[in-house]
Amino acid sequence: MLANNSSSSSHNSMRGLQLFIADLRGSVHTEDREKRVQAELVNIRRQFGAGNDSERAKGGIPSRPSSSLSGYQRKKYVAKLAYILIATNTTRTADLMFGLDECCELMASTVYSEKYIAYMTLELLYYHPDVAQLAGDRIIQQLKLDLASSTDNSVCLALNFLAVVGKFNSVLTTELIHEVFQVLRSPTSAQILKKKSALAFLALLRNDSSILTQDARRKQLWIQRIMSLLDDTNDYRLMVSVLPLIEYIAHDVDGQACIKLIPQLSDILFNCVSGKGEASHELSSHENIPNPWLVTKIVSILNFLISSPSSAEGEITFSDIDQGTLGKLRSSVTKAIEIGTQSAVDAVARTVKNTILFSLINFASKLDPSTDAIISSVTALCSLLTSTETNTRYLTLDCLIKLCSVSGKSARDDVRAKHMEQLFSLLMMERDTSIVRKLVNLLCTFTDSTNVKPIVNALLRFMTDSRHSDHVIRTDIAVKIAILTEKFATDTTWYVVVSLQLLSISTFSLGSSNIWQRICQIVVNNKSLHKLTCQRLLEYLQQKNVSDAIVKAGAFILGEFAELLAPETSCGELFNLFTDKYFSVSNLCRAMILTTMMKLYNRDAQIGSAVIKFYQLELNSLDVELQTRSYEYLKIIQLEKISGLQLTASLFEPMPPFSSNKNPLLDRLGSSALSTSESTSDFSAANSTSTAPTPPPTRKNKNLSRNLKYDDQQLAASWQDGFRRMLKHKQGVFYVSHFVKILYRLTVAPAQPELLEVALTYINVSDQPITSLLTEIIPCKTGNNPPYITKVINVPHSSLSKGERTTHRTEILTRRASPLDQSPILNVSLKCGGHISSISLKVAAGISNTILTSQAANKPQVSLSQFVQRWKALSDALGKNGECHIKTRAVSMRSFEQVSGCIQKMGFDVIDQAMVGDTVFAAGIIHTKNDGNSGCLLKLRCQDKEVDITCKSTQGSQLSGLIVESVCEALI
Amino acid sequence: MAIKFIMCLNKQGALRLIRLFEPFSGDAVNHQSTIAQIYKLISSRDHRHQSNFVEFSDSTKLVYKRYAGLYFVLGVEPEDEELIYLSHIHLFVEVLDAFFGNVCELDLVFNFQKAYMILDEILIGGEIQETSKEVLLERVNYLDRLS
Repeated sequence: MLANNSSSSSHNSMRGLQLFIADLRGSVHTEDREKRVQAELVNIRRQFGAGNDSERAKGGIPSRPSSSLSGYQRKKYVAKLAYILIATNTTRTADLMFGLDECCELMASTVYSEKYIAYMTLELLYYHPDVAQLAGDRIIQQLKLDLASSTDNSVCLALNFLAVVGKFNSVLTTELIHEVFQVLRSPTSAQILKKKSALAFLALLRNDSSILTQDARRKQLWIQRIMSLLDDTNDYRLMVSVLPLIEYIAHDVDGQACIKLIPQLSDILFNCVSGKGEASHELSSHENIPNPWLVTKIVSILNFLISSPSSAEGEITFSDIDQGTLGKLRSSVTKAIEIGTQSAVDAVARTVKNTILFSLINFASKLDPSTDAIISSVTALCSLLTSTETNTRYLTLDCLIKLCSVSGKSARDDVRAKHMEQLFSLLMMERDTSIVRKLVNLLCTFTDSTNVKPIVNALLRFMTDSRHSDHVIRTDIAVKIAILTEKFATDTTWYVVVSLQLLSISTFSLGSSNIWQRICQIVVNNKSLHKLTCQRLLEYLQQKNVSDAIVKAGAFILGEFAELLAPETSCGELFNLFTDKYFSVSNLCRAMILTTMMKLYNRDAQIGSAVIKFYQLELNSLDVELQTRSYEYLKIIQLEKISGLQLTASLFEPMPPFSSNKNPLLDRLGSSALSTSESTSDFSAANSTSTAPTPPPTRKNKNLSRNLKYDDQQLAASWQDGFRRMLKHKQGVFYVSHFVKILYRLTVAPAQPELLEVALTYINVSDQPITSLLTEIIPCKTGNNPPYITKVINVPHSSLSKGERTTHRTEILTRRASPLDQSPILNVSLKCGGHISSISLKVAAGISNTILTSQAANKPQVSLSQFVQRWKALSDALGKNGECHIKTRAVSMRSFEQVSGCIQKMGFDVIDQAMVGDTVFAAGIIHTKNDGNSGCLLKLRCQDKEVDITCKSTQGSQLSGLIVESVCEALI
Repeated sequence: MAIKFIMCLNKQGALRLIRLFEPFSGDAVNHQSTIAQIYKLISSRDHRHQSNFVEFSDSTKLVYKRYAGLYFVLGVEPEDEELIYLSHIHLFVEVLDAFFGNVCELDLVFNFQKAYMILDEILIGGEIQETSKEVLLERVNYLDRLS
């Protein structure tokens, strides 16, 4: 019956499939459905030919299926297999494997709808390990064919397959990642192919990234290709699919390589939130809003690349980012707050606006926000707390908690000052437990000695008034109240009142035992609390229906300090009070009361007969513990009466102070925002130390060994030309290629000669536009006392039209002298007309750059006699230690004129003299941040095709050596 | 950082769509128990007074939304920001709605292959591929017409 449906005209509607689905829906009982599925499986198996199965069972290679089925029929049966997988909630997946051969056959079809069904079914089945085992090779073969196909739709299906199942089998990565990358990098690929290949590549990379990590050259090339896909700033379509790939590379492959993207990403983000370009998202309400997917992805990448301001050395923080970029990021935050606080037409628009707001506020702390910026974030968030949407309130609190812990004091102070009432009223209204929990956590982070009273009162009101009956949350809040009062209370009366109130409303058992025990410990250890607590407890005990916890605390504390209530309340009265309560409390509490009676008896023997009577009664108790206790106490009293020993007095001596330093309540809180209080046994009336919550861990950049990156750079073939030119000349050509020409200009301010500004101008000298112009200055060392620090002042534009130029400014601060070969490296990558290049060049930022000419420093020229005098003085003081002397032939400038000119250009003062021929005398002052200034003297004798260089410096031979090194390099 | 899975369940817990981008944690082969747990967790929540986000396991957080009788559920990583995923779901539902014309559960049952076709244009590799409803509709209509 089913085979007859092949006459159906439309290729896309399979009537047999529709009937089967309708049949399954028609079966009311599960058994009927299972029977129907079973019958269909038998039918499909028959159609596919039983021959395959028997051969596979023999362990042979599966034969090609008999091609008696038409493509349409094959498609229909394969689609039925897919439907069975879904309709059985995946329980029958293992029974569908017999269809794999036919699926593979169908994959090879040239009809799109047939091919699609094959791919779709295999995507559904692939999670099952049998698929790769039974048909893995055939699938890979077909994928290779389709990836190389000239039909885009076939390539799309293959890429889609890899993007969906790429993470399930690492063979897919090793076999196909090159093919996928070819599609991704090809400039002729259609956009849909680029998008699918970016995500397919990502899925394969997630599976196994060794393809990149094991080959540094390929890693660099491929990553650069991928980054260049972000170029088209007018079309954000592709970016949506490429950004996740970049995010993964930043996280798991090479975070360092992505740092140079920060300016470009910031640019995109800024354009996106400020509504420039096409990156806006049209909602169903026809409202245009920044595309939230782009915003969240970019922020997520930036949030990872940029560490918080307090990070360790070597991490990239806001201070490493140039002002222009930082400004864009900060304006993006401001803009997001504006968007987030606008009214929204419907829930969908609200969601999108809030997405943008939360995303950027969570990121803002990385940008070293000003107090004003923090306050506007707080205000924006608090205005959202009144939202009627549960999601919004939930996420707002989440965001507020992060903001308060990361941005610290100014955020907390602002909430404390302006928004507490709002939080309190939200607490009373809120129905969602998870929100209440967040709210309570937030309140706890705000608590200090100044506001502990209103916060605790609000929490107590929640305990008594709220409709919330969730047991766990109430217990948590009770514990938190106990901790907050203990930690921050400055008023002893208030502490006692609140603590006992807390005990009196604790009608639950869990956790409350910790609370009353802790309170008893504190009361025992603090004499000033004894009397007050006794009086208060007495008042509670005189009420009807008091909680167990109050009776327990009362039994313990009144037992210990009963005499403080005398003469108003006698031991007899207390005894009566406890006998009243005795039968309405738990067994544990009764046992405590029995002990308290002993303590009362110890103080006032007059109540002896009543106590004895009570114990005798309890000998009949059903509870073994109570029975035993009564028996033992009875025996003690009897023994005392018979022998006259003072047994009770020595057994029930006053409680010594508790020595436990650890607050048991804190254990219950786990990783709560409250930090452990120090030595809490002593209740300190002046305890006002407010403890800041620890900020959440920032994502650490794992691969931050900057030295490795420095060493990895392959310098361009002709790098030395520009490098040497830079040593001698303050401006000139740094580098020239077919695409780009780089000019440089070095400037130092006379006031701070150790700070060198390097301005590089990039000029597009090709016939085509340059895009993806990304630059990075890589210092030799960053952490651990680096010799110099680089700071980017502004980055060049990332795209240059023909003939256009752009400037890149960097500051290099010399902290101490270092060898010339450790100079920073400039890495420039760019894309021009399909050609991608990456150039690494050393920037000559040696010690000689810090020399100021006496002209610039407004000092008189050194004369020869002064030179000789200083030379002698240095020799006398340091001897050979301050000197470096070499003879070199390895230089091209050997004549007096050449050497003299070169030395002068380097910034030294050449002494104007005619007394000694062929010798250049020069002097200069080296400036460093850490080691201060040091004078140096140079003598260069030019004769017999060699130069004899001697340098003396006030700082010793090491510095002299470094200067000679620079001079030699410049003379080459 | 990425979506682990997307599924669509009806109010009775019957599976209508499932797409895994990485293996379920735990038993990789027997999925039905994981699906049942997800259904139990989500169907027990109060939809008016509880948020659309819930922790499912140490490694997975669910972002879900009910549209008529269908739950659309995304499994994401715990540190992911939840809200954007609601937009993912909404976009998917909007495209389904426009493509089928007032979509209902039966459309996803009888035309599951088309629902997958739409899903493939929106989400692959655990990430969003296209965010414009117009572009998506044009693309799926084109694919649907291919023979």
